[in-house]
Amino acid sequence: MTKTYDIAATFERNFDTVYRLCYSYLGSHADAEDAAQTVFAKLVRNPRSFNDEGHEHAWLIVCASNHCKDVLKSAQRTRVVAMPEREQAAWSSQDAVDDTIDAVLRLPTKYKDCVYLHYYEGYKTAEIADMLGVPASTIRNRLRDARGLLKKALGGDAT
Amino acid sequence: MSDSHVTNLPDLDDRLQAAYAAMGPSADTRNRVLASLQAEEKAVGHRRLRRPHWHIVVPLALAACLALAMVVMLPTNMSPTTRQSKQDAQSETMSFKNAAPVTDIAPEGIDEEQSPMAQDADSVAGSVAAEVDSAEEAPAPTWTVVELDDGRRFEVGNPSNENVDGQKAKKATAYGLGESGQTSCEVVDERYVRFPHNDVWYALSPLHS
Repeated sequence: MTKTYDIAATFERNFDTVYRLCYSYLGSHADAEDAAQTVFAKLVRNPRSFNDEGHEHAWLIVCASNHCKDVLKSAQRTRVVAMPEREQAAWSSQDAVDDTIDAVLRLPTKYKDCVYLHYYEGYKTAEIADMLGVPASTIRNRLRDARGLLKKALGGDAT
Repeated sequence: MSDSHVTNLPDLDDRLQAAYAAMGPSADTRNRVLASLQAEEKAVGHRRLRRPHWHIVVPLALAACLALAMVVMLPTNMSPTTRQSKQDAQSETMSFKNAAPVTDIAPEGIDEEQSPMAQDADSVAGSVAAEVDSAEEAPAPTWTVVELDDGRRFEVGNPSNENVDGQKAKKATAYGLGESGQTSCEVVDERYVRFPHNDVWYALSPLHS
């Protein structure tokens, strides 16, 4: 068992992942920064023991995902922030990357973590299912649905 | 359904990889968040230092209370064995006081240090102690010599187990060490003497001057 109290090392290993996941949920760099900072601050205030770096990585991903869902559910954010900034910027951008980001940001919340973990972090469906505590078949269904939504949003064939 | 079924969208992998890579934080953001976390870590560390360490304080306080309670309760909570041994030690100390007159009245002309009586002082004291214990821990006599009216003198010995209460007693004078060592006493059968300060009978033996 390795206790992870070296916040700088933990930050270096995981910050990009946590930040990208938060951004994919919240669609705002400011909100993603706040959310990522909150997630790491939880670790600072309550240091935990992790089996290895993979365990630490998974814990931070789940923590970030849950925190972002809480933020999205909060009444204040629902009232104050109507649209993510990327959505507004996307209207003027013709860049394919921006279109893809826009499509990812438009995905329903339940698809965002599994799409990010599968397509960017490279986790297998079984690993994602274990991490999120849902059946692997559910993850496969979500990825299939998300793929259809993305293809539709990006102008491809959804089938 | 295997993983290949969910990744077979042409070009989607690359586009998503590029999109997520573009979502990454800037260097400024990284530095800002890291500095904030390090400040938070320092503040948490200071709070932990200031916070009472209950896991240390509580056991120490309990141990101190327990020790104090043991110290307070010890005299009243002493076991009978311990109390008896303490009494034995006290009576032994008193018996050595009794032994002192025995050496003090060594016959004249004999060096006290060389006399068998002095050499056997310890053993004499030991036997005296046993007798004192059996005589209900009688106090040591202050007077060492008793003189009857007719001038005969007797040496005061150890407390006696004999009960001569009620027998006819003669008045006599007892002499002890020091200037104020003189008092009246009762002598029974020229063998036992009792002093006014207690009801203990001491054995008498003739003293030849």
